[in-house]
Amino acid sequence: MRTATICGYATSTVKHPSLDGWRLLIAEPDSPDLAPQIVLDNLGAAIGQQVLISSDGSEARKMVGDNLSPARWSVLGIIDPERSLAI
Amino acid sequence: MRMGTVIGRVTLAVRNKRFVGERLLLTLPWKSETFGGAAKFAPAIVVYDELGANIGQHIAISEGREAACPFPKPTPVDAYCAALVDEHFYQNKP
Repeated sequence: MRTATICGYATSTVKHPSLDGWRLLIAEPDSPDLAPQIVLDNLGAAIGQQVLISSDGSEARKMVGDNLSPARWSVLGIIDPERSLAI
Repeated sequence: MRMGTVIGRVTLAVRNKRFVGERLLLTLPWKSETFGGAAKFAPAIVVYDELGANIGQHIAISEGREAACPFPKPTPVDAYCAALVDEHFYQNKP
């Protein structure tokens, strides 16, 4: 799991059928070792918000309801900045 | 999924028996700087494509174990073109 900031979104017409209707957000991880990822979101994260993302593909496949989906990254939660702490 | 730009095709003369009618794209994955407009990319990778992406097009690349998920039989694929990106919007972190 990584914390990341939502920096944008992508739109796509031709895509794997399991991704139909899904919001594809661009999440930039806070640690620079990982490139920005296109993530699935069903929580309604907005641009500028900090989120928790996970690379658990089995959770992503459950979200889209398709065992043959190539989806990997998904938003697990939106971070509450006032109650999160980093030293 | 990383974003990527298609820069070429790879055609096999001899293939793994799991590959049938495969379409392989040589792709430059994007880095953080790429989203900001810089022509800096991660090292090129080969991506399995079933959607028909063209050279120059932007795609979403699914990597790791999930890249092999769309195949009903076990297939040795670790990068898969999951979407052809029409448009994207990006703004730098505040």
